[in-house]
Amino acid sequence: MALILWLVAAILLAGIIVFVSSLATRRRLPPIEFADGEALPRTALQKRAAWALSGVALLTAAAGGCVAFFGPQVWWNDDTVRLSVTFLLLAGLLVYLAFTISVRSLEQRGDGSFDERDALIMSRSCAGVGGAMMVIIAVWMVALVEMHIETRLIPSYFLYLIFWSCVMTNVIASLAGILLSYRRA
Amino acid sequence: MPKAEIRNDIRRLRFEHGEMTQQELADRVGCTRQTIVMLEQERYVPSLALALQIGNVFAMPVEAIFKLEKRLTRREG
Repeated sequence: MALILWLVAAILLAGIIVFVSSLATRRRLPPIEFADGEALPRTALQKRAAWALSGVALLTAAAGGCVAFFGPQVWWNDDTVRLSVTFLLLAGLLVYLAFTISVRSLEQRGDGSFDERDALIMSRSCAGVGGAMMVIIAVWMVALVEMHIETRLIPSYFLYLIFWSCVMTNVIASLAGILLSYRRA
Repeated sequence: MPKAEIRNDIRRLRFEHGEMTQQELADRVGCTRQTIVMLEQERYVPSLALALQIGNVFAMPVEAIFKLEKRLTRREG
């Protein structure tokens, strides 16, 4: 199977696992009651996490799309493609860095825009990261073994792709964990 | 140990204290409006510090605002 299909399957599988585990661990609570036209106000952390997740996911998808479009070998041999992909991934990490800095400044502001519930949600947000990482590594393992089963030689540049996919999965799962935790806490 | 739920009268107390809005209460205790919504809906149990701050706003002891309610298990039915 083509590498891109494996990656799509991995992302779908990871999404299903996160969704099912969030349903399984969700407390059985009655729905929140609101007056007409009123909705649950979003917190500053929630807004920032949504923006950061959108940015990181978009940049990671662009980088993954480049690798899938050109193929891993062209990505490795062509400096322009490799640097472009690295730039996109680093930009994703910079978005995450900007998010963490802005959350820190929210905490230090002390005006109630970041409270104890936000801190609790932040501490719970990494619960799904381990599972997502395990899924990504398992998919890489199966995909690479299946792709190179005849030669039994896996090109070393895949180590870079595995490394970057683990880093970006960690970041995306952390941000998604914050948004999911708001639905449960 | 029997499970217990914490009930509160924050919504009623807000209205009794000059129809205070959720945002006003949030600003006075230093939390987000979403936290006040979740407290009123009894979906979030506050820390002791936040509970004490809410008590200060309403000039009432914490135990007058928050009540421990024993949840009946099936066996106790």
